[in-house]
Amino acid sequence: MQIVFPWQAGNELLQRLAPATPFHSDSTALLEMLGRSCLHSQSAPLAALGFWLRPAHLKQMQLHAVQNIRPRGRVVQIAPGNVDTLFIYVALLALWLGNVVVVRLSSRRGEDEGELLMLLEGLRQQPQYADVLSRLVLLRCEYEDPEWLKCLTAADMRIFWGSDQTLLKLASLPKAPHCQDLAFGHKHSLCLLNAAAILADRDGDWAGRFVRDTLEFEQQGCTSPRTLIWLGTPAAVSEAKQCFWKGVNTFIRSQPKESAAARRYQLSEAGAMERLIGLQQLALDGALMVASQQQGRFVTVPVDGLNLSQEQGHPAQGVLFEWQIDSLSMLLPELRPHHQTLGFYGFQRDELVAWAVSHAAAGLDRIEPLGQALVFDPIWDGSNLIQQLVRQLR
Amino acid sequence: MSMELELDLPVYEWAATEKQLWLMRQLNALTRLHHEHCLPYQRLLDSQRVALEVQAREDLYPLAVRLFKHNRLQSIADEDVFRVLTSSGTTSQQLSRIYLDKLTASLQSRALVRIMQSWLGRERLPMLIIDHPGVITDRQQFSARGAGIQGMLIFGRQPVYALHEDLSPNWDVLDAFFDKWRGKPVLCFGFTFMVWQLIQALQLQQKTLPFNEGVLIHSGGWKKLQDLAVDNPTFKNAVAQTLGVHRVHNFYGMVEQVGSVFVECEQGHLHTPVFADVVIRDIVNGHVLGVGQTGVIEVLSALPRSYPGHALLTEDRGTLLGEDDCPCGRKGRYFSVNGRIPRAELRGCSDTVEPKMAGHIPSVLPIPQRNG
Repeated sequence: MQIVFPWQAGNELLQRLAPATPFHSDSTALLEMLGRSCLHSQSAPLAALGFWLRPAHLKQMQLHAVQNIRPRGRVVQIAPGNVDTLFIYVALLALWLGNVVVVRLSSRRGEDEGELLMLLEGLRQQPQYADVLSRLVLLRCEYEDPEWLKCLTAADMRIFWGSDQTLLKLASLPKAPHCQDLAFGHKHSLCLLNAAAILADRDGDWAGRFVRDTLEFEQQGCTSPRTLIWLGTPAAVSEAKQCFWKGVNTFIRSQPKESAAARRYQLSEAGAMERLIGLQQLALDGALMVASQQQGRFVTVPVDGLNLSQEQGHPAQGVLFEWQIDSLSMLLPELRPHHQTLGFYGFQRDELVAWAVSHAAAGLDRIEPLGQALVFDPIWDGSNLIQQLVRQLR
Repeated sequence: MSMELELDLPVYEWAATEKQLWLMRQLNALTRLHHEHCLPYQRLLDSQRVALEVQAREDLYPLAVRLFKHNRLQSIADEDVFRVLTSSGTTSQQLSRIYLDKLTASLQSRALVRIMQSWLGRERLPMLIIDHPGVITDRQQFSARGAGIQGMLIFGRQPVYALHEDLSPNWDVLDAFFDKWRGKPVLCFGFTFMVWQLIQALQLQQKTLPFNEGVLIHSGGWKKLQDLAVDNPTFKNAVAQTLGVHRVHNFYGMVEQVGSVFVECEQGHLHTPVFADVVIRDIVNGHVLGVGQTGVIEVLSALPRSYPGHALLTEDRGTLLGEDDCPCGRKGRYFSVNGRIPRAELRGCSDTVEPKMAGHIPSVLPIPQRNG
């Protein structure tokens, strides 16, 4: 087990940590300061974190809290490997709420993660933040590392990100009776497009928003759309699709060459290989019976519903299943608990939320406007983390 | 199609017109054969609306070679499986499994004989295997290097093994072999990395074994040597200085297309034999690439009858160097291999358990068939 934050700390550090009061002004100050440092980052994910940590948003999130709360104690998190900055959102919330936070980082060291560690280390050197940051420990280790297993067993709350298989394995590890587990597993996200709205606003900003949702993390984020649901008549949808893919590819080509965005949006050879293998595998399995179509940077496959084997075999890398529906009532019976985010364009958020609630939709954890799919919210996968990360006193 | 295949063809003599006429007939017939007998393959081709009869090699639809790791792909009944070849890639523990019937196994052996004889002649030369003898007796490693060595044994005689178990040189064997065959033609064979181990040991000892009449055949990939910054000219130079061997032929092949290997000529170019071909593709935009361009190597082979492996998209990068006009005089396309596509990170929720490096070198040579 190797502790990577605080830098050069020994493992005995884990013995000495104690929780603090939720929403302490020192914690809030740390979050705001980290936010300011991130805002200037060249990295889009870190800049987004900076935006998320702005004081007004912190105040807004604090409104989710209930009364008379105390931290859970020690919150142990296993970070996901797909989006290397995702863990920090949960870690910062837990820290803010007074917990001791221990995170096992993915063994894939992303660039963003490296920059984040530098920023945290810089803040730790400043006395006013050192105290709060002393409750945060980031480490790397093998899964079977005995010290790590001890740490998991001693947790008051455990947060796991991973495949369904990994989650099952993790859930079986011994824990204290009072320890609560939060598991974020396999998800598939959707994007609902109103064909008429695209056609009515051919030069709208939907292209950039769609590209950000889809390609910012090579479509690997659980919240990145993988199935496009087109609402409209077949004729309108067909016309809207043409307009849409043209606009999306024009947007990608318009990124300044050598810019960070252009790099992020480009398909690598390795990515193209994964995409091809994934699509061929789906076809070998009989899960895809129709030809895929290259749409510039993207590949689309027409589908006629939401299908688990198609979703599980989805290779990311810019593949979109496309499903045309005449009305939302066709979508409702197809929704399953693993359908996480529904991005939308050409609808009102309120009407879609009301629709999902009034019909007791079996899936969907988030309904977000196009372009906002990757924005983390304390209400995640159906849980309110601000309330989950504390104990409430009657 | 006729199940037999005429292999007594001139290996490197047919120019494009003649070769393509023959080869495309074979490959189209194989597409039909596997489409008819391998259901997953049929589903794939049908879903993509692939034409079963195409005019040009570029129009064939290649199957991604990695799919043999995750799928049982065969065009024969289970009871006709004569041998299963396995390999492990370098980045995954998952094994490729290739199901051979007797016919395919025999075609592979015969094709390799045709190819190798055109480089080595018909006479079987005294053979120095640059490996240790345990590699073909140790069942654990047999599927890997051992099978390759077994496949080459038929081209030599009185084989000896140059290395100890720990891969250090067996000087007794080397000296004895040298004393016995000094000045005579000999065949040296080994995997590229093993050969390099020996070369380095010789250099360290400032020792030379001038087999000036020798020929060295080696294979197994440049990955490890590239990590050590050893390129082909450096390698050949070192071989010439320590082993005195000037005829050095690398070859490129894979367990998914055993037999129809691509051998390096005196110019350093890998040559397509008459039974095989290559197409270089830009897989990002789907374009077929021409001479001088670098992309992903697609390999074509007329041999695979028992599994749909006649058109395969590899994960290797290569450059098409030309066709029918290599200065060495051999006809057919020739190319170079430029390493592997970096593996995309397996991201997503299946983040956690990372594949360990598997050290196997895949067997790319057919295992000689025993009688009975």
